[in-house]
Amino acid sequence: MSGLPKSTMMKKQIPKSAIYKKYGMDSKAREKFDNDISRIYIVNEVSTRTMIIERGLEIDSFFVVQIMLKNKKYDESNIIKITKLINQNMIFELRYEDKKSFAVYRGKLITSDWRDDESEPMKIQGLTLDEVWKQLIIQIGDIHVEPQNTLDEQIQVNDMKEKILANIKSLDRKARSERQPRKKFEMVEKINELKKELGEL
Amino acid sequence: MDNKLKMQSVNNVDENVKKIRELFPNCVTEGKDEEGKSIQIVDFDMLKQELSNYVVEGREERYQFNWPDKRNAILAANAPINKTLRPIRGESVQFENTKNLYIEGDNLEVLKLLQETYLGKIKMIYIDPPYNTGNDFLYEDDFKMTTEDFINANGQLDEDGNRLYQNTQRNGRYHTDWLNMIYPRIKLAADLLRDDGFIFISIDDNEVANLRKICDEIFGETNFVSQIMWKRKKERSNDSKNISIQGEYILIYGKSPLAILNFESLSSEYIKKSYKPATKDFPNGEWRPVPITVSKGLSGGGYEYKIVTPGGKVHNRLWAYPQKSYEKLLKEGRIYFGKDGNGVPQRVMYAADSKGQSTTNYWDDVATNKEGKKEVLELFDDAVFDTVKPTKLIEKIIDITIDNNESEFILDFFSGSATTADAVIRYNARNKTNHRFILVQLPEKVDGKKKGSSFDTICDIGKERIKRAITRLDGKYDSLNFDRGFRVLKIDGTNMKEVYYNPNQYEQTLFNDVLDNIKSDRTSEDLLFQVMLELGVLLSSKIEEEIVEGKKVFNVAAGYLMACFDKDVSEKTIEAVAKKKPYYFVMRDFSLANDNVATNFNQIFQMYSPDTIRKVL
Repeated sequence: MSGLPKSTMMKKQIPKSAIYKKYGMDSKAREKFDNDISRIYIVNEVSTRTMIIERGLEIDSFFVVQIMLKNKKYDESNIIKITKLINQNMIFELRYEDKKSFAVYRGKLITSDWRDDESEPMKIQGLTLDEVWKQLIIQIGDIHVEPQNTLDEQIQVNDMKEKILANIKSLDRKARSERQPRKKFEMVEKINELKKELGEL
Repeated sequence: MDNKLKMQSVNNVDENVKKIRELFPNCVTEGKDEEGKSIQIVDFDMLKQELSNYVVEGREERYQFNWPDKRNAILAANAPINKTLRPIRGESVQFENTKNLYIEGDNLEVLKLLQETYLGKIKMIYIDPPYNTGNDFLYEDDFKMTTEDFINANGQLDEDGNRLYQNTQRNGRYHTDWLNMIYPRIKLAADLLRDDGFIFISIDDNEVANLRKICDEIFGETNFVSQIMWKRKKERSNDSKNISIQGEYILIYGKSPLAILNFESLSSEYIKKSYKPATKDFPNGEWRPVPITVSKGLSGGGYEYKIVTPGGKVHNRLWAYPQKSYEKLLKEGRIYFGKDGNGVPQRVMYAADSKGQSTTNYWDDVATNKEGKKEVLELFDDAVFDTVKPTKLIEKIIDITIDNNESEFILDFFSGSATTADAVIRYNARNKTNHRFILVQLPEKVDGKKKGSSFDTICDIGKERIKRAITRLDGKYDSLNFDRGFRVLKIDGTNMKEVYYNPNQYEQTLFNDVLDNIKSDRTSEDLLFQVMLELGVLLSSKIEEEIVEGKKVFNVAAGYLMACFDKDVSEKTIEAVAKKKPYYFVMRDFSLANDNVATNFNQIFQMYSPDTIRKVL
């Protein structure tokens, strides 16, 4: 991952077959995995051993894992599966043709938009690994952390907001096509309630 | 014109035809009405075939409850009316923010007007209708009128503003008149109930048998819940020939089998009687011991093991719990070994943990009419009402029907002295809930002979009582934020002139009349409420007003309905409205001075909000 010092760089392939074997994936799971993912490499190791930084309370190392995709529209569950299988802190650099996107798992998969190779590198900010890790997540998710919230709280709030917004959108679509005024009104009341809930988050 | 609002209450016959069509599409076909207009009609022959052997006709015997004019009572319930509800800001309290409604008018008409908007929304209805004691005044519904007369009948009140007459036992139609009065009202009210809703009806010996029969018919016998005996007075008196009447009834019907009553919380008297006070060993309030032994051979269950008491005595029996569960209870300090610590162990149940109990059909300790009267006396220093239900009675009904996590509708369409509102307000204040009341009352004249009465109508008393009931709670529940207001609405003839409904009967020469199809004494807010009734908008909805390009625009329920009733609405106003994407937009016909303007307006909506349904008056 550009932005990290050379000392952290490595290139070690994780063969898919090793993953299948180690975690006993059946042929169906394999097929699903193989449909999206072509190759997996560990490309950086960030720790007190590979760069000058203080270890944090939570994070003492993390890895950057490069995943070569076969589809730009991949199934998120395949990436989540990797995080479940490999018990390490990982930033994923997803690559499809000449584009890349970053992802990290934090209760859910947080992803960045797709960008060119030449785009600005991720900023490595902070004096401890905890802080560096946190800042990377904020950059990937383009998260605006409100002063009263921790990062995890903010992720949760954003998640709830997203869900409510999706709910409002689908209700609104239904309400607009509903012909019976009473039912229409009930749906709009529900929408107004949800909007109120949204404002209180 | 397709986008013209009906400005008329729901025609229940149309609704019934719709229901038949949903079940038997092949039985609804097209025909012509008396005026030659195409309408949907029911093919009875076809329907009979569908039901083959299950049809009863003509004079064949059947189980039924009938009385003269019952058919007309059904027609009365189904016929639409050209009436509206007008908001009265001056008599309301916190008009802007309240969710409570006080509606003045004949309840039959009000129930019709509420049909579209409140259909299937009410959780609980309580009514205290005239008992037909021989001294009651009944509503005079004139069934002799044709439907059309009925629809357009205004001024059905006598010179005193009453539409009432005294029903005495000498009247040859004593029960008939009462039944004709109550039947269509309960029938309409039933449609407003939610599937898990209940109706509670106070009644006494005079009509309880008849009321139960018609409720069996309207709600279905299987939805009968109970005929509660309520002790309305403690004293005995010789006011009746053979029996001193102390009780009266409350009939309960559910709308469907989904209607389930809540448990009652344990009464303090019951706790006192059946529970022991807290002790050092059992400190969490009142408690009682419950046996955990199982008798041998009865159910075949149970667990056998030895229990040693703290005093060292060994009990070897069949127990209701496995040993592990027993040990857990012991650890939690929920086992009682009797006074000497050597008794057979029993489980300790705390009153606070109790789920409560089912209510009974015998309410002898709720509060009496005397207390109801006292409550009114406390508010008015004057006996403005002869018999009044105690608020505790209504509060008990609320308690066993209402889900306190929701904000539910409670309807009383024979509201009299407004006890139901008082009870809802008290209940909300005490339980930090937000239930809403809808009260309906005919503005009957207060009996002039009643001494010192400064009130003109029963509605005046009702409204004043609600105001005083709210103020009385001030300070007592200061920190709480319960609804301290109510919106007053009055029933009135439609806002529209006759020409609106029958434009074909008016000649073009009456052009001025056609242009202004709204009665001159009506405000734009009056129009708004009639539109709300038609478009399913709760009458307690938030209404915002703003001036857009010099025109007053209403915004109801945060963008559900926007309306502008001003003249010469400009494109700029329309554009501002369309950008807000309301679900409905209503304006006056005369703003569309010519087809060009109409086309322009349509184009603006097409651009910004094509889904907005546009209607005109």
